[in-house]
Amino acid sequence: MVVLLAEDDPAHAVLIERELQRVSALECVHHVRNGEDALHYLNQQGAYGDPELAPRPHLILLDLNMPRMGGLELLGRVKGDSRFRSIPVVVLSTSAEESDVARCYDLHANSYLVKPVNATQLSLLVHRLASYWLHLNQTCLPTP
Amino acid sequence: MGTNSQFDSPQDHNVSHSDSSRCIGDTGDPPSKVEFTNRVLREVIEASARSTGEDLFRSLVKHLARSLGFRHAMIGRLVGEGDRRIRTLAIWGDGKPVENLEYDLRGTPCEQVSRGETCYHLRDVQRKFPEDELLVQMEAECYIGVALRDTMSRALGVLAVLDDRPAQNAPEIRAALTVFAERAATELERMAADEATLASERKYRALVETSPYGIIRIDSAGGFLSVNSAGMTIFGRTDEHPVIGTRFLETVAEEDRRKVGEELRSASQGAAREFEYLAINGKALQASLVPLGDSEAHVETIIGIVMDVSERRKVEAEREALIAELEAKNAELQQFTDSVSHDLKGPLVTISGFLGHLAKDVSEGDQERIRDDIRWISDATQRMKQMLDELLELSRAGSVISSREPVDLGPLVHDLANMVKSGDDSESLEVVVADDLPVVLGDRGRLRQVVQNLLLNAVKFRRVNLPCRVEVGARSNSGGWEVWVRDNGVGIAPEHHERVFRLFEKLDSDRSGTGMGLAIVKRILETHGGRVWVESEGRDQGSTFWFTWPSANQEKGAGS
Repeated sequence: MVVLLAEDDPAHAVLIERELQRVSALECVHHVRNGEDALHYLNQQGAYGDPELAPRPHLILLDLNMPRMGGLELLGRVKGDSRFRSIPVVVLSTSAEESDVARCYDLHANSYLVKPVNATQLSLLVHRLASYWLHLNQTCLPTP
Repeated sequence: MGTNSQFDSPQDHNVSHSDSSRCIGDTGDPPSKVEFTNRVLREVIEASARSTGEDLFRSLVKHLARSLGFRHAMIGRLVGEGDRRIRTLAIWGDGKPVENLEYDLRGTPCEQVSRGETCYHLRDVQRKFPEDELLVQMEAECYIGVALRDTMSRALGVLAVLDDRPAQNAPEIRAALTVFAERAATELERMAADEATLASERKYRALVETSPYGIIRIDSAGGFLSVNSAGMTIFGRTDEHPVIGTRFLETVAEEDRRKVGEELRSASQGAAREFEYLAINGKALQASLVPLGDSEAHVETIIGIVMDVSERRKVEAEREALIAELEAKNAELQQFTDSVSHDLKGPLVTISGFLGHLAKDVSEGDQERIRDDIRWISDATQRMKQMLDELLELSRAGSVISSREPVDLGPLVHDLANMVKSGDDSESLEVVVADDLPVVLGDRGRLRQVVQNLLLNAVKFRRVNLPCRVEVGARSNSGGWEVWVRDNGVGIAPEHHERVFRLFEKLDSDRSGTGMGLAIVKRILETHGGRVWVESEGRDQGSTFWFTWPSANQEKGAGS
């Protein structure tokens, strides 16, 4: 299983990666720091030109507030592209603002989770989301 | 019309027929009586022919005295509070008109008459009314008075004849007096009605003329018939340029003529209308039209009330604008607090998350992880402190540091350029300051902060492996000065030109800072009536930040 983590805060990225690494059957977590890099990864362009180094993710974890290209724009691009539409996108944000949640679902996010300010809860959250989206949930490849 | 005849019970019964030769009112034998009656009727007809008002009264007393043979005849109307006085309308005496006079009723024979009685004092009238000096002046021996009453039987006045001889109570005289009195009463009532109409008209004219609203009358084709003075003011007309003779639509602004034309058509078809429109003189007017005519289908005139509502509309528009501005400010504030709370939560997530790891790593004795955890926690607290400091700075950016004064931008920019260069460890930094920088009027402290943040921003977003070059210059515009800070740095894609000024917005997470510097610049400029924007072709094309500032001789817009 491959996870693409789009997160601009390096500390948050480390926290999430540390939790994900304890999830079984996870091959790797690819961390990008903005939406632009995430798109390059998905399209296997630029630094991710080697398809071996940029395998198609089974799950995208998305922060909203990122430089260059924010989470919302990336979400729109992913869900607007038939090649990537079926990849589950889980938004992970510090914002519990209703308008942010609504905008994400408008753009067809699969789930919206608020980052908890509590170590145990954060750990639990990542475990639960990973077990649901990576183990229980069925995904498919795009129809050619 | 009644004269309340008391002929059947005359007050004075002891009229002696023996001395009829010295009496008036003896009309002789029956044929003479008929002739007398005919003459009286002719006299009344003659008296009332083609005359009205006081002319008629003068004519009546003359013919009355002449036909009945009395020395004096008079007609008077009741006046004063409680109708206690008589003002004569005409007096005839000794063959000629006598000047009118006014007298108190008390102690006169007319007093009884005024109560509606017909009074006969056929002789000795002076003795009966010793206080009445008029009787003395007239040398009156007899007095016959008849009340003048209106159609509702209300007493209006008296008609009286007097003579220095005793009188006889002859039916012909009674009949004659009744006829004259009827005629006089009719005329008196008509005059009273005319006066009431006139008074009412005066009252309404005064109301119309003093009304603060324009009151207009137009014909069914829309032509002005009358306009009061308030209307003249509203339409901006004068006596030299009256509206009479012009059409209502001519006072309407071009763009509203069609609409008002339809309203007028509606009113002329019998519908009351109320509408607002723009006048040709630019005023916002409100009009109410009420059609007048004998039927809905036949409207003769339209009465209109026109109000100038320009001021009211202006106030409303200003209020709307103010509300919109407040709502925008409110939304901005909401966005600000949302942004602050989310962004401050970031470091908290980090701190609490790594504290959890720290507890575990300590128990496992993993020294390397412990150091790592502590470093993340420490970085997050530092970042949080920096954010809070800059938030405080932002909140202060709206306030004044120093009072408004002329500030020479040249020395100020040179000073800041040196400071930035001395704080930069790289040799490859060049700041070029134009030598024609202006003197501007403003808060020196805030102005310094704006330039400093822009310079620091330019240096921070320099391109790797390229000498950093920053230029500062200014050009005048209509409102003051436009100052620019141009760099050859990383540039900003056009879609992010707005975003860079938002709170905690960073286009590059690799660079240090909290993304607050440009937000502070924007806040300061907004408070000082200026504006900031950025021009950049895109990635690696460099950026030019512009801001406007009022010039030294420009008072406006430099408030604090």
